[in-house]
Amino acid sequence: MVPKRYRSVILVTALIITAVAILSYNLRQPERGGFFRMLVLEAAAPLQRGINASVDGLSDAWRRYIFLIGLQEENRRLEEKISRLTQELIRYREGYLEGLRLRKLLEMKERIHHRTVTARVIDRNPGAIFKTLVIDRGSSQGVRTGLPVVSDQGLVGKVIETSFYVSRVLLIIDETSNIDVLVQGSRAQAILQGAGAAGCILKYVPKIETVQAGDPVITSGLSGIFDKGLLIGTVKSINRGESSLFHKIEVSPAVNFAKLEEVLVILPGREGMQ
Amino acid sequence: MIFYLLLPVFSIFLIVFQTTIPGILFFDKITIELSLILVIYAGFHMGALKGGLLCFVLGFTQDCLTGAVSGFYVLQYILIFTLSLVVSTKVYAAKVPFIMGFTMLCALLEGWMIAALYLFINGMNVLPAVMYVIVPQALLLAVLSPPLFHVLHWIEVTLSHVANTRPAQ
Repeated sequence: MVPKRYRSVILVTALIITAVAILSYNLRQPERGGFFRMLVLEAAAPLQRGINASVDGLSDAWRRYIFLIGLQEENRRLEEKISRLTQELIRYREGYLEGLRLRKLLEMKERIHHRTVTARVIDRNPGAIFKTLVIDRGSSQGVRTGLPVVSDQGLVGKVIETSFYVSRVLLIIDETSNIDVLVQGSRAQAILQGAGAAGCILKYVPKIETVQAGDPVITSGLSGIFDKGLLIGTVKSINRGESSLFHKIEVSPAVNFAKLEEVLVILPGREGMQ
Repeated sequence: MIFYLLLPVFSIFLIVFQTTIPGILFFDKITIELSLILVIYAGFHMGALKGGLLCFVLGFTQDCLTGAVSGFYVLQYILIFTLSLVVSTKVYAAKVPFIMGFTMLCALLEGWMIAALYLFINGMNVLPAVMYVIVPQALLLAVLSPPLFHVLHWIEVTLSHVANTRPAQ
């Protein structure tokens, strides 16, 4: 009789030997099979089928739930990305448009042959009684009252007030603005007065002058404030009334004051002079 | 006697369960080898005959249902069972950190044995690939082992109580 204390050792050793024997026997067999193996597979099949059928719905729901969580997270991430890219795009587009405007201003600057200061419009008040705008350049940059202000489209107005770093510009459409001008086609000299929202009107154009709608109106250079030849606008309409000695002429300003963002202040003295 | 009769059915049920349910929960990324915890428990709390037979049947079922060569898991389970049996004679295996540590060690040992057998049988070194599966599984099994030991102990006590009280009735 085997002592009890050795029974476990013998049993375990026998099991290990059996396992090694099964493994080595099956390693020599290229095909996996055998009665017991088939029995286990057959016995497990209904159980596997049953479990899989019952958990399939649960599995689908679980996968869908995990998928939806992922989708929601991805959706949130993509929305954030779209928002970030949209902001970036807006910044780039702004930069591009600013570049275009500044290029036009630069071209204008090259045509003027005067020293100029580029300024950004920081406030405009189109509904106010006085048609003015505020620019971010002042006396510290050489801006003085009375200096003309132009944009790439034409004459904007003149500086009426300056501070160290800020100036106020009186627009040519302000009722108090009067500029000596020429109608380019007929060379008729006149005074251009602001007319608020209506634009400007030309005063003192004798009826003997032949003025056509669409004729450009430019500065005459006689007042000493504005150089000759700065574009102001075009003739919009002419009223040839019988009773008066002069034409009643409406002028459309060349500048769109509502959309002005950058302007040039023309400084006294030629370019290259201090 | 009922233990030996129910053993094959229980083994099939356990292996089918452990290959199906965790696969759904973890998208087949991690398997939870509950049978390994049962093998370790058998080494600590069951006798050589009962435990050895349980490991043999569990290993064989695992071989059949996972498509491994017959004897592949049988050998591993019996070796781990033997290790647990030997350790149980030296250490009082009831403390949670010990159960967790030992389970983790056995899971890593099993992974190493799988890689070694693969190398021996197929001449392929699958250890680096196996590590990605074995290490998380070892950690998971280590966490699960104390509550499962508790449940298995409760089942064992209940079954023995039922077996002892039946003749009296």
